[in-house]
Amino acid sequence: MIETALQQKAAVRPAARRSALSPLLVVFCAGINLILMQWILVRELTALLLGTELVTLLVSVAYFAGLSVGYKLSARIRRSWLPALALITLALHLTLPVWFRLLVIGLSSSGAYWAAFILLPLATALLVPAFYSVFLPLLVENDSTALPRVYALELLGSACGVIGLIVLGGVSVQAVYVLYALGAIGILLTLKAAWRWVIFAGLISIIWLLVFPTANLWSNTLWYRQMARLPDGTTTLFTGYSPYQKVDVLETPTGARYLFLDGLEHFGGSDGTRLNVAMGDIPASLIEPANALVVGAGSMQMAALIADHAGLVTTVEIDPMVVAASEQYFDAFNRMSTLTNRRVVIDDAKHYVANSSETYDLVAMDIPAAYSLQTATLYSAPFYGAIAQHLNPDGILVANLTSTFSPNSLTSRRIAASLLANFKEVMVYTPASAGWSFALASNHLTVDRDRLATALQASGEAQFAIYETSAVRAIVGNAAPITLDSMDIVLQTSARWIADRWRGGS
Amino acid sequence: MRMRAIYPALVGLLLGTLQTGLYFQLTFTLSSGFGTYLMVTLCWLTGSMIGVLWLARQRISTLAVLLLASCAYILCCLLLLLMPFNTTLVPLYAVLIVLVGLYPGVFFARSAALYQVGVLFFRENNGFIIGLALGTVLYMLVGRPALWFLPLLLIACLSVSGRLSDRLLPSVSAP
Repeated sequence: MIETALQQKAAVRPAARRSALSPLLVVFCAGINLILMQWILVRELTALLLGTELVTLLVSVAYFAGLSVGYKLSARIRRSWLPALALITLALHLTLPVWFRLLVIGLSSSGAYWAAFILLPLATALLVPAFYSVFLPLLVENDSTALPRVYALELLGSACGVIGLIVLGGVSVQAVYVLYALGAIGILLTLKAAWRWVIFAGLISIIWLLVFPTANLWSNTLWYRQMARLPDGTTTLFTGYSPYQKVDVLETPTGARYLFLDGLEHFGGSDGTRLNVAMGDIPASLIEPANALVVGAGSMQMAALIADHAGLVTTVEIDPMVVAASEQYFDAFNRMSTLTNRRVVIDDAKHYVANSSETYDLVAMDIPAAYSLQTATLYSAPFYGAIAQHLNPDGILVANLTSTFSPNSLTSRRIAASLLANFKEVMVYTPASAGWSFALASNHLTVDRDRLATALQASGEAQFAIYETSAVRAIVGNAAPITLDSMDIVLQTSARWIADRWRGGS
Repeated sequence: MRMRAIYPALVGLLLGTLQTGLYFQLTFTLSSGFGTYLMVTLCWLTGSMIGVLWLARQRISTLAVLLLASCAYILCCLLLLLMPFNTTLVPLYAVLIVLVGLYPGVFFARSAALYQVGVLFFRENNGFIIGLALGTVLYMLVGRPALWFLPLLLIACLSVSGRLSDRLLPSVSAP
């Protein structure tokens, strides 16, 4: 009975090549490739649209909408079209990172970056998962009792895809694409495509996968030159998809190095260094911590600046790819190869802090702004509360308010409110060179206004503002702390970010 | 007839909110590590495979499987609330997610006889998309109560129509 639609329809093509492969293999391969493409697509598209929580949601919705497109089209797809569609899909998917980037570059350079928020999700829905979701309905269209076996095989394929990502995801995008190409060729074989087409697909895949690293770096560099306004001659030193995000390291002709996470600049130029001085070097020089913790790695320059004044500095970072990229490409900034009072722990900071018994004199937050829910939890009152329990009596938490602290900045006020919910004293300072405001929070703050001002001046800071706890409380006003149950700040930030891109072109 | 038309979408809506609820709560109060993503994905897929291949053929009503999945979800939420970041509970969470995943497996296996498969998956998937988006946006607006009560509300809707759904979806499919 399972010799269903595909075989029956194949029977009307006497010239078609016979195959010993079960048509069920097609849903198994489809399950694998759906997971692999989701992995690549989510990371690439999130970076291209400058990842925020709403972008991640938009990408996910577009991907699942593509499945619906496939289910809808399955009744209209002819068996004879499938091999050709498989070849087109293979070509589109293998080249997806490159042509998606070129499309965005074209839109941005013509002042229409906003259109990427429409075109890319549309392209995703129509061109990415749709092809693979036609098979399941097609295979059981004449025999509904076959559904359990067919559906279970697709689920098994998806599970194998996930396992494939565990094995290959950390190796390279190219390695993931090798598995993907094998899945697509498996589908071609099952569809009984002519051997010449199978061989053609195999050869084209091999050639492209050999060329892919060069094309990947080239298109990545072009994209960053256009979107991040990096100068001509900039090169991509590293690009990769981690389990969490897209990680890119670029270098300008003058030797300046930039770290981008999901398309957003995390470290680069003098601004990045000034931020690390303000949040790392200055607090550490004031309290000389015996034991310090840095939450988040980034360029790891902040940890190095703290290490100059500390006994031991621990960096806790969830993404091993960020640590590896930082060690390899930012050694001039983080001195990982020479500093001996450093260690890195790969873990989710919330989980690490909750399960650690260590206490610290200084905890510094080196994390991206709260554009996503995951990072927003690291700005929440419960997380600051967990850190407070791991601070020594005179210990200090250094937090980034991710904007200039003022009555008009809801984000900075809410982060400060989260700190005030856990600490008796919160001192906010805004060095002009870094642009953003930072906070020293403690239950027994040993750093006063004068010492902080002296340290800021000694670091070369000419202009700055300092707010003591009473002033901070006044500016925070009725702003509510960020908690796991009040993440509306992420929605607002994400919506504003997209609206700015929509209006501003790029 | 109208119930029959919207039933897969309603199930999809529930599955979307359940997956969103499990993923957000586990990553926020257990670990945001890749292991959590793997656990949710692989255990859900495993549960669905068991549901579609084995449980759907057993003498158990679809409503009972829904209630089993509901209890597993509620227990998961309670444990995460009462014992956050407790890594020793990971195996238990894995089992609970497998139990939640049983329901979609049983649902699809038994619904195949009642709907064209393309239509069934199309409607369920559309509901899933709405559930995914609704769960995420409502979480950002009102917090974890959205992840607790929205699925429960949908489970209640599906349970209230339980007799209808069990009439729609035979409790035992042909062996």
